[in-house]
Amino acid sequence: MRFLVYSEDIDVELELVSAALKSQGSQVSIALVGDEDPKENSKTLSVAGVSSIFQIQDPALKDFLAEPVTSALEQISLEAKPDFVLIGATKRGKEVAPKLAVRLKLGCITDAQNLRFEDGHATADRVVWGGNATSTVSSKSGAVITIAPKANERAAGSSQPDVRVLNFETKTRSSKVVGKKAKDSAEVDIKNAQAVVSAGRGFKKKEDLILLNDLAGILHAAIGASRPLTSDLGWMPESRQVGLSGSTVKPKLYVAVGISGQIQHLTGMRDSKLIVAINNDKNAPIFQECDYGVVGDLYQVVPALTKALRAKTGR
Amino acid sequence: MVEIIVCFKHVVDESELKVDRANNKINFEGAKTKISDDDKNAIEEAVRLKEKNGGTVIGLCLGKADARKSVKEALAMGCDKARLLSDPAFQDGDAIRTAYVLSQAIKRIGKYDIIITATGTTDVYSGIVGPALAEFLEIPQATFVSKVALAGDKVTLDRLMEEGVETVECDLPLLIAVAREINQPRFPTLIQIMSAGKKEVVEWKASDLGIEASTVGKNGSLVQVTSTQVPKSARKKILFEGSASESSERLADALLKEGVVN
Repeated sequence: MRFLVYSEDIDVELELVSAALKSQGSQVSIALVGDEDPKENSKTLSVAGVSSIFQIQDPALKDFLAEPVTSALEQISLEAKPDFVLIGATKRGKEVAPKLAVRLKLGCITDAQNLRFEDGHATADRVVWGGNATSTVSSKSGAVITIAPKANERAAGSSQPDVRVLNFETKTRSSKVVGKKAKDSAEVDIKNAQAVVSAGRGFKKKEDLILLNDLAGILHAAIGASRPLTSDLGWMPESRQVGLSGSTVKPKLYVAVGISGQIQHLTGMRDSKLIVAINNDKNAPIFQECDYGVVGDLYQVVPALTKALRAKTGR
Repeated sequence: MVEIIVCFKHVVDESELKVDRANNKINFEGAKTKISDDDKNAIEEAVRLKEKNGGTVIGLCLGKADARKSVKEALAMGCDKARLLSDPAFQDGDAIRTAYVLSQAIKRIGKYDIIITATGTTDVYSGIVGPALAEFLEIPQATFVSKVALAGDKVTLDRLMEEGVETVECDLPLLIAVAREINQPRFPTLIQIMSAGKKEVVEWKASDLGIEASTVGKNGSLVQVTSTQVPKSARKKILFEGSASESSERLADALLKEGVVN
């Protein structure tokens, strides 16, 4: 089976190579598009198992907008003739995949988990119904498939792929970027943290959030929040939001404090290594998704836990 | 004046679903239905743009007969009229087929400046319909949009991307897929709900849209759902109950044992 992998993020692209190589006898090509000199990235992407790298360098691809990227990928696909196109499920990848599928008349599967290939069709699991269920979906034949970042290890080793340079042909109408504002450091902070302690609706007022500071200190944790606290109440900046419309985090330890566990939130922290929940409602969905849970009033449990950890660690 | 078409989906309320763990199934019986949450943000934004700039908002919904309930709600929220795309031929189609049917309906409506969708729907959250629809209509798209400002034929939009907010400019027409952060959907007043009944709702079938039945629905789809099951969580789910100090002691011990605190 022929695979074409693409992400605007080189690390994610290496992860997709691993995903493609899991299928036996796969032939893997890489799409490398953008406005910068592809030489350096091309070297990074020359990992074991890669047979070709298709490069398109053009100023129109500078901001990785959906329309030019789709056109570039279509152009590469006409050369590489992939059965399956794997795209990193970053926001930019998510908006390109369906367009490319329409252009190439292929099926489209987004956020594929547990992806497998058999007899020329792809089968994957997808989280649906607010995280209550998983659907198994199958493509009739070829497909464009998005896979979440960090779902696979980066491919390694080295190879000498055939490098093909294409000239960008299609110019389609698109928006143009007129400004960028980086997220504040809080977000970078929660995404890279080894531990995250997040607050939810169980907190009665903004001032009470201070309760988390000591606990976060002992755990060397960054502080996050669920959507209601950021978007609806504005008690914390959006940059600290964990969830579908916020950041996806995968720390070693995730502590959900007063968070009921709606899909919106679970999507952003489900892959954490160890999940701990503190909630006064025993039936809260978060208790179905945690390793350890304390059923109790967070106003009592958080100080008690802080104290217990302080005593045991001597901090 | 701005002509807007907003697409929305009538879905089962996922927060009302009963999980039958014994049989590894979701029980849909008697489950409530609603307009998908994010689609309400799409409708709200469409209505706000109309209120500010003048024009019309047409609501577009692909669904079975029971979707009329959501169509009525969209009208109460401020859509001027609606088109319900309902045909047994559309059933069990994948998201790309949905986008295709919507695109055919939009072509029949003819005149538009802005198409608005959500980023995804609360049932399956594929995120496919918006971009695929823009592709079928051959118009540019702006996704994950948190702010829209219209000035003449130009729209300036804020997009919530991983690295921050990206501001883009685009000429009309275009498709906008909104993020939930964009607004807080309104609750229609009783008068608005009553008057929604008088607004125009036209039902279109595949044949009204020049669609060959075999190209849509289950048969026309390239991706199919083969089964849906309740995932078995691999989590330990060890719960501590009782006094706060006792539970906290035990949790602290567990965290030390797991090696996440040292």
